[in-house]
Amino acid sequence: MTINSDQKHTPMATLALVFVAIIWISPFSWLFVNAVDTQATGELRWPQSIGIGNFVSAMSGSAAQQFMNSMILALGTATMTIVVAAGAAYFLSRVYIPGKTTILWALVVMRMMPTNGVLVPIYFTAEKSGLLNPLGVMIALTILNLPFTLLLLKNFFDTVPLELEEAAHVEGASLWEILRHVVLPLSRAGIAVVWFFSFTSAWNEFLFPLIFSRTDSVFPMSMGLYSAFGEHGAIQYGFLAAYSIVYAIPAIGVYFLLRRNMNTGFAGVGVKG
Amino acid sequence: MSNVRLENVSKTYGDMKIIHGVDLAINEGEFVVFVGPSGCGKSTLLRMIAGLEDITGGHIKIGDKIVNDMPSPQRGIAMVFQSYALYPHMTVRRNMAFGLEISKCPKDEIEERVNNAARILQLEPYLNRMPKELSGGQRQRVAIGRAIVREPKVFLFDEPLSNLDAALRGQTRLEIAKLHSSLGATMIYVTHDQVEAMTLADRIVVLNGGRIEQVGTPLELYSSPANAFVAGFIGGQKMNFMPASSRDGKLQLGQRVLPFSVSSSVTKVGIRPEHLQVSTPEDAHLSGRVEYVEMFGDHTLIHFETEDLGLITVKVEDSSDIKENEPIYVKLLAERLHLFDDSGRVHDAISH
Amino acid sequence: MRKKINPWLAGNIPLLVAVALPAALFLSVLVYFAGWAITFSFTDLETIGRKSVNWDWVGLKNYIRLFTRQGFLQSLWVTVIFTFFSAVIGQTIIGFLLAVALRGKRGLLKTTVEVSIMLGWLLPDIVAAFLWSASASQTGLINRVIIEPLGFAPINFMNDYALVVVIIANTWKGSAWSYLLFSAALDAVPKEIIEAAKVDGTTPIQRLWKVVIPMIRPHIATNMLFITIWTFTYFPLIYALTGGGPGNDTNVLAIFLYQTSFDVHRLGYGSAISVAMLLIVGALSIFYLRLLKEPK
Repeated sequence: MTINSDQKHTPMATLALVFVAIIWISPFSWLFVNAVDTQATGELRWPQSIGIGNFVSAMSGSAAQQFMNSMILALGTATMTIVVAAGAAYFLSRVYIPGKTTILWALVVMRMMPTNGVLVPIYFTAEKSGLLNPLGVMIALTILNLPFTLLLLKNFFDTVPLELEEAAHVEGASLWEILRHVVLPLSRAGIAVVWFFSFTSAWNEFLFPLIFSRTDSVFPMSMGLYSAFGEHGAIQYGFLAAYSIVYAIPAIGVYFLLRRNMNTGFAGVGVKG
Repeated sequence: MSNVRLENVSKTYGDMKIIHGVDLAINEGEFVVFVGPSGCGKSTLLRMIAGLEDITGGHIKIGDKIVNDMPSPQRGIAMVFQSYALYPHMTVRRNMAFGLEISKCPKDEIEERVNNAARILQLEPYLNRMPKELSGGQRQRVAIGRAIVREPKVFLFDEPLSNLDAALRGQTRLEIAKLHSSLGATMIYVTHDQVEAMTLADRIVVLNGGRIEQVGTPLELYSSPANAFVAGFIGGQKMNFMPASSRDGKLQLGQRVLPFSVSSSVTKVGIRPEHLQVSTPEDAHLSGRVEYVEMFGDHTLIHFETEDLGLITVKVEDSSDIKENEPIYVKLLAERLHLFDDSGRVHDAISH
Repeated sequence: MRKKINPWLAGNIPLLVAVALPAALFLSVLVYFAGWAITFSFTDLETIGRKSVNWDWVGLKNYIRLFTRQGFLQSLWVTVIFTFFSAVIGQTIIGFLLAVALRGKRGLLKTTVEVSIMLGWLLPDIVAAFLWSASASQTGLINRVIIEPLGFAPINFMNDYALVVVIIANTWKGSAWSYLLFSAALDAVPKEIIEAAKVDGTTPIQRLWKVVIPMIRPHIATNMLFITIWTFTYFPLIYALTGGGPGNDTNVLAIFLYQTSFDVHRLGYGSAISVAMLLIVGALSIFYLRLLKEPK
């Protein structure tokens, strides 16, 4: 391990890195051989009969419905989070309020309380407001993510030089025009990071859908997989493996789609938290 | 083109007063430079004229209209920021066009104005580049171009050259001077660099601690500074200051009494290095030992240590016979001597 | 320094307040929820049955119970082990070593390593749980590729070494985050400083210890802060993988809390557990923030 940017990898280091990559990828082998094996038994073995049958069933019928449910849930949560957080984050970044950093940190600290601890109040509130549905899940997740996203976005807005906004103002741009033409384009990295985090957290979430869902028809994929996974006995391993892959692809894809935008974003996460 | 008037303008942040009742009249087409050390309030004053800081007291008038409560865009000003404040996600062309687009200017007029500004500033080859692909000097020109296209009544410059290297600074300074003479617009320019102030300004406003110390043409400030602060701030080489007193109406410097008549209140004299001459021991007013010699090619600065007056600097053209650690004899040009009393005020010229 | 806002923003204060309002509302709801949970912790409220209606204030009884009954302390111990080995040790060290090894490099090798660790991180929790339960099973990857070729009988890891599997799974899943954070931190270390250290005749190891690590100390502390909070309250992976078992081997606090509140239905006690977790994580955070601020 060196701190040399000009030095090539030594053969040993290359070997070690390749080894790391293999270890990290190897658990996926089971998933793939079972997904393409139409007679999968859940064992790690060469596929007996290769086919796309598992994928076909993992993308049709109730599985397709669950995919759509997950998509709506994740897109809805991510969008709601950005809309709610961006306005407030800009306000916090630009308006002087005594003790605002303390307030924000207090909220972040409060969020260290495990989600399971506030499950019951959230459930009761949702029940009373008639929100035991996907919209309720979106709102609940947005609320729970808010302290973190707010702090993150505020830090991003802080990095947009005030002089740019002043220049735009002198040139006659209204606040809305300044936000649209200057602030938002320049905080794309931060917005991408926040969007990504809220999309993924909603996509992965299974506890809230579990307690908020009144009918099977609104089950997202996480629930679909969790419930199928629990039923021992006649587990259809091939189907579940294919289903897992279909479920994982958007979560992975979203990252690689936003990757270029986010690289600078992570630096911001690191420096100021 | 417009005149600008500041009437008893002041500014406070909380309990801190940082501008103390400034009065100033800037004429149409005039190039005025605000100069002073950092923290003197020069940038704040400029930002108040721009409408980026509110005015706590007094009035600012642009073209005889009080603009205290007028939003910045309606004041008819354009501003060039120290950091240039170019929009990093827009091309050079859009950076210049942005303000016009916002104010719903017709497309072909935007096009014409941008092209015109680009021609004046020789930015035509770069119109489709992004700011990050430009050199510092080019970015600076884009920032100026963005101001030009707005055809403002008043140009405001906030330390526009401080991010450039020395060579570019000289060149850009010249371009700004040319721009002023070709546009004939009113320009207000903030800098901490007295060279920029001297070379660009029609009139210089020297600020210190939120107050105006002196307003005048560069030459006036150079030859008759109103006080020790201005005297020390303006001028290529730092002025030599020496404690002084008067004995029987004559100037006393340390141990020696010089044959110059002065008023009795004098406590300090100042003289610029270029107004001292190396002389023979017989003609000399001061003497000392040469500490070190800085050669610039066209001129030389000799720093010599006196017994009782500290380190003094002399500027000479030719220094071939001056060696470090050798004695030196120096003559004062009496008519260039600046005399100060306790209140820091300068005294009238002195006679022999 | 400039405390008051610019006049041009001041003119838009109503609009600024309006856009901030939804967030303010959501945050107050969040505070309200937390307040509710704290209130529960002083009652004997249950989710079903008689005590879901006729509950009583019980003062600090729930909190006393945390220390007098087996469950909490045992679960706390499991959580500490889980957090320490998978996050503080596993994720941090692997993420850091990879970031150092791949610093300033480009090309296929870097992309391959990055993508492979990222896949685990991006994988939904349930899928990761599914994958690891299969990999650790008697016919799974670890037995087939390592144990059996070495001539041993297949081991049922999920029964015998559940906590180890969970720790490895979480290390596998979470290292990418530390890697990303440390990469960004290392990129921010100016090349000149490393070159200066090189000119001073330091060895690569010395450069790492004496120059780079002190410079990115705030990033290390930030990373520790985040992953400790997350791991300490982490629920889905373990819940789906082991459900806390076998026995209480992997019964971390998040699961213990869930079971107490929803399986045993003792909401009051459950709330006390979550308040206790909040206090523990809060104390840890203050410790890390200290680390972040003061130079040694």
